[in-house]
Amino acid sequence: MAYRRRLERDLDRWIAAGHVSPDRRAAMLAMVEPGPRLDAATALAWIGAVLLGLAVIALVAANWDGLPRMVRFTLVLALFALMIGGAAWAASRNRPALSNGLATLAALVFAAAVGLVGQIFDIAGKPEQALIGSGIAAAAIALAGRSTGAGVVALALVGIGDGMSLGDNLWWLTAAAVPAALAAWSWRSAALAHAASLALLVAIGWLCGRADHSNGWFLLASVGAAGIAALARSAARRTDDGVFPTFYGWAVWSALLLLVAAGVAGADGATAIPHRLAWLAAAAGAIALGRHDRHALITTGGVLFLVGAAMAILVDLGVNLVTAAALFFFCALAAIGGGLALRYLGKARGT
Amino acid sequence: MRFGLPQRLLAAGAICLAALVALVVIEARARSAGTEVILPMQPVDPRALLSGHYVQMAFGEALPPGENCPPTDLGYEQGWIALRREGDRHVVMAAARSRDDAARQGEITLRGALHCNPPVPGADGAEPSPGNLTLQLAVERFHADQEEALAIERAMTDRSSESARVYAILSVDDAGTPRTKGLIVDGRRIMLTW
Repeated sequence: MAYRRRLERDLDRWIAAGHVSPDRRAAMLAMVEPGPRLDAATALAWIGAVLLGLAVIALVAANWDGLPRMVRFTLVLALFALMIGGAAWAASRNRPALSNGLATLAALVFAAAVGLVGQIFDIAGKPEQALIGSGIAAAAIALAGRSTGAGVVALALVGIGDGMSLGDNLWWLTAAAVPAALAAWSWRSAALAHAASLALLVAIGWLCGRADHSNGWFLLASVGAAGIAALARSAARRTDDGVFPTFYGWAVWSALLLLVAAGVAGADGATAIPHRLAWLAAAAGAIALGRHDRHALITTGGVLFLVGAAMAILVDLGVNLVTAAALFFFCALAAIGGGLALRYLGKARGT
Repeated sequence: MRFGLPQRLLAAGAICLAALVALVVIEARARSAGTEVILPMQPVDPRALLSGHYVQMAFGEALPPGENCPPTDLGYEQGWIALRREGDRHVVMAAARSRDDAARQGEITLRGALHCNPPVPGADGAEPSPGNLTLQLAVERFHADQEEALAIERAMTDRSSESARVYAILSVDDAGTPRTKGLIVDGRRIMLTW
C-alpha cells in the first residue's frame, strides 16, 4: 500500500507537469499488483502453530530436570533435525525464503545444541571452541543450502568465539571473512554483505594492529579500502544488486576507520594535526560522496567521522581555541570552495 | 549424479548430527576408560541463575597447622599435578612444569595449576591458622537438577563432619585430561548416567 500511495502522489505530479495524460491515471493505478495478503484462515493456522510450539516448549521446560539425559539429548537432536528437514522440504517446494529462514534457525539450534549437550553430559571445554565449532557447522549449512541467514550466523558465532580470546587471536574470523564476502557477492545478499564487510574490517584492523610499523599498514589498508570503495561504487552504478552498494558503504567506512587508526599511536599534540586534517578532509569527502550517491550509510559515516575529527583536533590543541578556530575556519573555506566547485562542474556537465 | 539444495541440506544436517553424537560417544568412552580420581571440593557459589543448576567445582582443602604445601615449580602457570591415593581419596603430592617431574612424585598425573598458602604457626600468643591448597583443573562445573543442586549446596556449606564433605569423582585419561564422572555427597555417589 505504501508503494501505491507513493505512486498516486508521483502520478499527480507527473500529470501536473504534463508528462502523463490525466485519463491514464486510473488505468495505471489498476495495474499495480496487490501486495501479498494473509487470509484469516492462514493467520489462524499460524497462530495455532506458534501456540502449539509454545505449549510443547513449556511442557518440555517444566519436565527438563526430570528427563533422563538420553531423552534430553534426543530432544535436542530432534529439534535440529526438524529445522534442517524443514529447510530441505521448503527448498524442494521451491520456497527459498522459508528454506533460508529454517536453515538459519537450524544453525542457531545447532549452536544451542552444542551448549546443551555439553551441559547434559558435563563435557568440559572452552566456550570459544564450542562457538567456533558451531560457526563451522553454520557455514556448512549455509553453503549446502545457499542460506544467507546461516552465513550471517556462522560469521557471528566465529566472531564471538574469536572475540572471547580478547583480540589475541582472530584467525578464524580472518579466514571466514573473505569467503563470506565472496558468498555474499555470489548469492547477491545484502545481509551477508553487511556481516562480511564488518568481519573484513575487524580482520584487517587486527592484522594491521599486530604488524610492526602498524601506522603504515593502517594507512596502506585505508588506501586499499578506498580503492575497493571505488570499484564497488562503479559496480553499484552498473547493476541493480543491493550487494554492491553495501560493499561500497562499508568500504568507505573501512577507509575512514583505518585512516583514523593510522594516526592513533605515535603522534600527539600539534604533531598530529596533519593526520587530523587528512581525517577531516576524508570525512567531509565522505559526506559529499554520500549525498551525491544518495547513500545513507556513507553520509552517516562522514558526519560521525567529521565530528570525531573536530573533537580530536580540539583535544590535540588543548586549550588553544584560537588556533582551533583558525583551523576550522580554513577547513570551512575549503569545504565551501569544494562544494561550489562541484556545483559549477555539475552545471557545466548539465547534471 | 547431481545433488540439489534439499539433498545437500540433509547431508549437511546429517554431518552435524553425526558430529554431536560422536562428541558424546567419544567423551563417554574416554570418561569410562580413564583412571578414577577422588578429590575434595571446597564451597564456592554452588549455583548460578541463568546457567541452569550446576555446582561450581573448586578443588582444594584446608591445610592444618604443621602441614606443608606440596613442592611446586609452577608459580601461577598451568602444569602437571601429581596425585597419590590415600584411603578412598587422592591427595596432591607435588606440581611441576614437566609431566616426568610430576610423575616421579605421584602415581597419577593430570593437567592443572596449584596454588597454596601455607599454614601460619602460632607466635606471640596468637593461635596458629590453617593454610589453603587449591587446584585449578579443566573441569569447572557439575550440572545437576534443582533438588540435587540444593542438596550439594547444603553439604558443601556443612563443615560439621568429615562424612558431610563433598568429593569430586574424576576420570583422568592417558593425556592427563580430567573429566567429571560424578560427586560424592554425604557419602552418596551421584554419577553421570545416561
